[in-house]
Amino acid sequence: MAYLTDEDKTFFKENGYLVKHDLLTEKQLNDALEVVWENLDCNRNDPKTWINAGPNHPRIGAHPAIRATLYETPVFPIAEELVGKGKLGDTTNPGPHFRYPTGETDWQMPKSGHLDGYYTPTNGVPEGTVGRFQIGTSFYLNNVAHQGGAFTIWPGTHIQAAEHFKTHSLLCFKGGNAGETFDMPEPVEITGGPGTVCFWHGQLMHTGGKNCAEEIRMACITRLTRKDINDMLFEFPEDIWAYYDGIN
Amino acid sequence: MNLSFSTTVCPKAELPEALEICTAAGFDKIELFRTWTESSPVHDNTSVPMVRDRLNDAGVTLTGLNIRNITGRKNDSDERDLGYNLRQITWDIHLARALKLNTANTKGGERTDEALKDLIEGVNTTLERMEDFTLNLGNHAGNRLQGLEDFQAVMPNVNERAKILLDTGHLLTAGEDILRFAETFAGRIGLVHLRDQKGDTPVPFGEGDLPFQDLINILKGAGYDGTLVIELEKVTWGEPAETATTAKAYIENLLAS
Repeated sequence: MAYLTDEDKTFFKENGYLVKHDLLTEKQLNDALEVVWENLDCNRNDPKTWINAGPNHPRIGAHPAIRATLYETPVFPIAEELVGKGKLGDTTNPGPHFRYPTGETDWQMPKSGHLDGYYTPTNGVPEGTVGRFQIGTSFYLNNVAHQGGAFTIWPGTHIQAAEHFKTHSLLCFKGGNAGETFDMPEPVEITGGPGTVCFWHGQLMHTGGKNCAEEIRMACITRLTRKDINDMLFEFPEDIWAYYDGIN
Repeated sequence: MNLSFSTTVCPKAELPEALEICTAAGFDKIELFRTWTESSPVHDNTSVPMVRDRLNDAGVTLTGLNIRNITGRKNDSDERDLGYNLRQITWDIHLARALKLNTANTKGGERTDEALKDLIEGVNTTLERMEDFTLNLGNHAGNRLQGLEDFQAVMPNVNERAKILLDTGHLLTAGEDILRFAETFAGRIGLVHLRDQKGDTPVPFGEGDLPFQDLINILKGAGYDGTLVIELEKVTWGEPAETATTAKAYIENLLAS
């Protein structure tokens, strides 16, 4: 069953992202939220306790209810539609990336983003390596409104990245900070209700905004990698979609 | 046996210049370092396909890549974390594979029991993950793999696809008996780095303490048909291409005799 139209694929090619809404059922969302709330250091029924709470990355990605949000919904099949049926590994767990209300009101659109997979002293990526992947999926378990810590992307930067890496080392950006090298367009804040999913190219500049809303931003981010990634880790062919069988 | 050029003779040269020196010295083979020399295939303004193209355009075959060491530790905090270290090693091996190699050279960590254990486990884990790939474990003065006794402790305990990189310069620096080392492990040598030294000071081939002819005879006797890397380092006696040409001729004469 195809979930994407030709227009969807064209949009993804040109912009490096694609947003779909209502991809999770109410039961899938509720099951996941039960697990989430059991693992947060705040009271589900008392929003005052949500301000600057934690953890940002609760270790619940392997829980069946959380894995189900990716693998038992249209999310993974849509990612496969872009990269190719059977091409993506299916062992990666969704990674909860939560942003808690700050209680502040001085929201601004993020000024800088990054590429994922790059070493920092605290993110677990070994120094001198890059964790390359094809598709990121960022999906919301609750409502994420404007100024609510939304996943934010810079459209088209995936094309700049693909061109750049034809003549530069994958390691050339410290911490994935390519903003000074790329011609940065206006960022786009991805907002939406529960079950909203942003599919994004693995080399798209992105970040999370400041949360000046009342809700916790409950996003799960998954980086999906081709099974044969090790054979193409350093390859940036002329056709930047050479490894996206569903698009090419 | 075939001869390969080492960029140790021109550590500050980036790859295009290193290839010019290599070909000017009459070599059609080269070995690179992941770190330490500027000709590393990991360079901000160079992609891996560009490295392949440069080698092809120069008519030079890459024979080896010296990757990071299996230390069992994080290199930024020195915390013991073999898994982290092996992810670095694995990444370097994929780099080697992208450069059309099926082998890479590595060493160990500090001279501790902990580093020995991590080295053995690290080599085995890596080779189990990487089919059709070999690792050459190199000796280095001061490293966990310094001399004969260290290799006697390691080699029986690691995958058969782990071979030995016999580095004459570092054996001389460590005061090891090169011929005894070569005889002991003759059947398991995967690569040889040739450097002549007086004590720990590199000198022109034939002027130092390295028993070249005896070593080559041992290698021949063991049926070694691999690469001899001409490794000139800290050269003060001439220009890189000139000294590499002379060293190459010296070894070719020995091989022919």
